[in-house]
Amino acid sequence: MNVQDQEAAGSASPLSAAVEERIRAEVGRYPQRRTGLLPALKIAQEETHFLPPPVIARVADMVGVSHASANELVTFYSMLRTKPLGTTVVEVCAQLPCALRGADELLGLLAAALEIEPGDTTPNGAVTLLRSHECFGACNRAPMCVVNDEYRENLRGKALEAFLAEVETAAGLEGQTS
Amino acid sequence: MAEALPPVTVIIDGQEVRVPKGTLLIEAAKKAGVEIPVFCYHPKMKPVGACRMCLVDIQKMPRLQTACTTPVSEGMIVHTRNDRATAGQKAVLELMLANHPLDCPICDKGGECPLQDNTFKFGLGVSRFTEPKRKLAKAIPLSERIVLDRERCIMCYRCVRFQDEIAGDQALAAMDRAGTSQIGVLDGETFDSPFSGNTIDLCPVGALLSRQYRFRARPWDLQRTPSICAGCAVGCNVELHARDRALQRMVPRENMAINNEWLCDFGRFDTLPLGIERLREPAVDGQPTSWAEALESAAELLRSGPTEVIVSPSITNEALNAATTIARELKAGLGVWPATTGQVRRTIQDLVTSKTIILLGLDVWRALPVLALRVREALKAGGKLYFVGAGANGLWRDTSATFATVEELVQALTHDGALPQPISILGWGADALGDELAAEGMVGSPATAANGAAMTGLPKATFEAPVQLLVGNEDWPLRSSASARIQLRWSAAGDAADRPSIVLPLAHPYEQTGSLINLEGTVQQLHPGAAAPAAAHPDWLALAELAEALHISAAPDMETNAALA
Repeated sequence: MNVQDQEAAGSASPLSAAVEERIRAEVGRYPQRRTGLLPALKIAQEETHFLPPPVIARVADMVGVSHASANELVTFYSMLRTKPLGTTVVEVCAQLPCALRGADELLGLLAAALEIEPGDTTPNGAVTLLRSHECFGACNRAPMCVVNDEYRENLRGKALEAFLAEVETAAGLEGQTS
Repeated sequence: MAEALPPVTVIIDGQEVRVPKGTLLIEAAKKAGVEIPVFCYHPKMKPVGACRMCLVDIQKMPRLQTACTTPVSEGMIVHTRNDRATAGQKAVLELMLANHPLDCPICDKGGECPLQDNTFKFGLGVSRFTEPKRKLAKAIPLSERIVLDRERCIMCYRCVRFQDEIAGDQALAAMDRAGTSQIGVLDGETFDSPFSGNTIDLCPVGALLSRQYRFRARPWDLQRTPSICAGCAVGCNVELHARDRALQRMVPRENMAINNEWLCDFGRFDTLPLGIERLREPAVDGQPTSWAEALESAAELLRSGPTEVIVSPSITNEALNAATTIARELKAGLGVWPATTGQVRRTIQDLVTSKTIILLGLDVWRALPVLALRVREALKAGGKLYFVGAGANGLWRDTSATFATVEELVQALTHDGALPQPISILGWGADALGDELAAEGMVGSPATAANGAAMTGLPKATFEAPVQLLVGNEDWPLRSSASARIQLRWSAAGDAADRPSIVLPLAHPYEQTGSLINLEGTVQQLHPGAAAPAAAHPDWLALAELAEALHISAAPDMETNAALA
């Protein structure tokens, strides 16, 4: 079976025809098709917001790599998501300076307040809590986190209390825990 | 093959050794008789330096280096057992064992485990860690054949590299990253590759294990017998492992001329007579009886009517010889079924060194799996693969171009001059195309059955004679025209509607001596790796006895074989 046959075999695609066309065009730009896997996954994620196994499988078939290889790439890069994200995304920096200033404690408090594990989303889909893989470059104001691309810094004492209350509100959980 | 580079002299633990420039230090050490411990390094695959086990002290280098990724240079002085090197090795092992469970007593790998061996030989002896070990999923079924233990995995990537470099299907990959990195497949899928079993052999810990063999034996209890895989015409060299004379598993043996060091899953798992109901005693009309009586009845039947002797292409040469003698003396027809005979010119070695390989509709990947791996070796050395036909081609990832017809291929590929030699051509019509292109590689339509190459020239069986002597373990087609059928087989006859008049139990190919001819014409010996059921006889012995019951004198080599039994 060659690449084209594999494409034909997957009858009901989880991607729209327009996105598939974009992926095909993008992959065609590279001398080696597999080089196009990363941009292809990014294009797919624009439409599906995250990459569940059927989407990964479809993109892998279109590029001509194994499903396992595509999943390897998806799980390696934190900006390729394997789970749907909530409306509010709270990403706690857990790199060394933040860790020394209590990042894990912050993460634990947020997890307890949201009643979820880091990496998960509240059942109502409101808030996703993430542990960052990379430094945000705000070490001088550690511990910190990023809420929907906005920095929240020096999260200790009163600032922390206010932040926790804000996150609980965002999650629709206020009044339940305190 | 790389041209021989000028030799350089290196000194490893005081041993002077001369090796070609560019040789990896680990291989140079092997030549000097110095053992450097490894996990991720494997001579058949590219080095990655992932596990850090092979740290050595090289003079004038500020830090310890991995011997598996360092090419030697002139005058290099290496210490593998000085204080610095051993401290590094001990540290690597200690960190590896920080999270590796100490469940060796219940681990299948125990006793043949590089991690166990290296820990005893190069490790610290005790752990200084007091922290609890990581808890991860254990015994995850990756496929019907393989389980994965995530706690035991040390992330050496040998399995991932095998599927990528050798099999080429990338069926396994490393998911996630850093401390949470692990081997896996896409969620909801299984580890499907016709070569997945090789990752069990390659795994240096008990992370990838065979579901068929798991918990059935310990390595030190196994009797090991070199033999030949009876799965297909490649004739892979194997070792049969039995416990208390009962077969437990089969592993490949290296033979660079035939199977390199690999085995396909079909051969490794599905050719073993495990979980298959055996035919345990001779029977006449469904009634169990003795060999003597069954042979008498069979001889009577065979003399009574027009007979056809039908052989499976997987029986041994010795059995084929006896069947031929019987057919000749009875003036009976002799045929083979299923017809999978074939012949090739030149050898697998010529295929591996080919610069051009053309497959004429032959899906080597499925029909002769290990031969597909040998094709890939040729491609890695710069060869090109072309496929002709609309059928399936398991090597599609490696195929440079696919053509509808031979004419199209010739037109497209030869207009700029001749294709690079040696050219290998496999499949129907290979001989004609081989002549046209003056091919210097392996050319022909290879047999696919274990001894198919020996059956060349035998007509296809007709199943028309009223008395049929069926030799071998095949699912023989139903024929109402037969009034009597005599079957010699090792598995219990399946179909009640096709109940043969007489059945004689055979030993499985892994329980008997005999020889098979592989697709390139190499004669290889089977050796019994396990005990056959008490009443089962080797195929050639059963036929010799039948010949005797028919008062046909056995051919001279039959006596030789009787002496071997």
